[in-house]
Amino acid sequence: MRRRITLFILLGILIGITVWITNLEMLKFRPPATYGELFVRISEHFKMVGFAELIAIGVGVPLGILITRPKFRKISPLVMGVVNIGQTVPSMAVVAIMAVIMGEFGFIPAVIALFIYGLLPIVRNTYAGINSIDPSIIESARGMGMSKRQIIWKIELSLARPVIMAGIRTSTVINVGTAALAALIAAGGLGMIILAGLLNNIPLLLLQGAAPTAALAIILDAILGSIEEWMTPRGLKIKRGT
Amino acid sequence: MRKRNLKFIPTIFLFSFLIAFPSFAQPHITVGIQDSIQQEILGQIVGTYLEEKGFKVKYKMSLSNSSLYSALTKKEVDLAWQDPASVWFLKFLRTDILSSKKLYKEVKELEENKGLLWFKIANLENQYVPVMQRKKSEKLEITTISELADCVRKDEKKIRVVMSSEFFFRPDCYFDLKQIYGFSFYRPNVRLISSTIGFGLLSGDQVDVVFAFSTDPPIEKLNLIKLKDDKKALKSYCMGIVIREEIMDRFSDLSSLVEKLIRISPATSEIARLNLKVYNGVSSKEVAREYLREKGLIDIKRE
Repeated sequence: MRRRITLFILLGILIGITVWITNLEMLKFRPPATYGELFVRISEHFKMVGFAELIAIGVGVPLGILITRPKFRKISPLVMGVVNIGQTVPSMAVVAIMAVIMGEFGFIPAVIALFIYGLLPIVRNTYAGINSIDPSIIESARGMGMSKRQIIWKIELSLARPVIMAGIRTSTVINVGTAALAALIAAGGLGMIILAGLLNNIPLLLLQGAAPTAALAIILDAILGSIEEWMTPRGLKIKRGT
Repeated sequence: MRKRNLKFIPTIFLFSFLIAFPSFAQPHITVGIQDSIQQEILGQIVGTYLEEKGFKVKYKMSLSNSSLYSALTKKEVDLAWQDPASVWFLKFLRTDILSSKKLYKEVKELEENKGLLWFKIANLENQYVPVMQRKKSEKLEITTISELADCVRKDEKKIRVVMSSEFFFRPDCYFDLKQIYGFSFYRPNVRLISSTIGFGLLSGDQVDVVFAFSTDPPIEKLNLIKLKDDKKALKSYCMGIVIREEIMDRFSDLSSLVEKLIRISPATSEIARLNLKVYNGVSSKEVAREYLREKGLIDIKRE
């Protein structure tokens, strides 16, 4: 409960800063972004991160499950290595390289770059989550006569769920920040406001772009957290002291 | 145990050497270069010429406007090409719009107090111009900015625009344009990025109008149409070379070299030709060298 209150206070401060700057009458020639622009940029930002994360979850989780199967266990270092590359290359370079490879600018290369960048935490956490399950549990499930599919869905995925969800949340929060760089390849988003402030030395504009970005990260993380809570069966919930 | 301790010693030596190394470097001139093809060529022309005359030259590439200002005051850059208008409006935050001559004079005085000397390049001018794809301009029947303004007034969400953030925030650029023509773009449709990326978006039909410099090579290369500025809202300013006073004092022969350089500096029509060369893949260093050779400032024999 206390954690939630701190979160709300932080969120209130960030949104307050944004609203304050947007309403501010700065010098006539250094205008902040209007509400109309701000909403368009936030929705662009949200769309980019949303699409990239959906693809990353759709690819990452099955990939993580696949490389824990006995048949494919051998190639797991290879897969992890390839996925690692996406994260070791600096985020700015991933975004720029994607635009150059595809030969176009805008939304699509940005989404693909964010997808590559967000893949690692998801694959790694899925892999680690499933690997850390006690083999005797799976053994006994098999002994009870569960099919392979049932073992994946009812045992492995439910037990690894907190770890997998942690991966998805990490990846989402990282990508909200990385998506700010997509402004460099004309994909819009809140990065455009940040960049304008940076290039013209207008600190308030920088803040006006950065505060909603942080707020967006917090909100998305909270949403994913509540999804996680909703997905966990009641029996598996651990009562935490508040 | 003792052996292990000894292993650290060469490492420490190496590190201290690496850290101390820059201070052993001989005196040099650092040329600051902004992030456009034109700036790169101009910077290379100065740098190459000084190198030929026996100076040690270093380059700092891809600086943005504001980082160049701070680099000059922090003494990280000694020499740079600058647009006095952007210094006037964005560094000193002035809002009054002056004529090219008067603005240069004012900037020169303001900067002299800060230890920065200006040299005027009279025949090289910087001017923004809106460009469109030829097909699009025929389809929408837009050839002048007035017609563009009419089109925007009719349906404000129709036109998507790219302009540099400098163009957006300078009082003499977008603000003035809005007032003189009596229109403004729908703000979510305005993308504040460099015109280099804007040209890419233009050819992919993701935007309709790009505000670029009139000497930008893609205009010619992509066969784009420049919209006529029928009410003369977009001003042009001459360029200048900025040199730190300290450097001027330290190298006594620098001033005569710079003056020689100013006399042969490329005019607006010439720089467009040089830009196109670099855009087509020749390195800016090579283009600068060739230009200096053409003008007879570098001996051909030495090459």
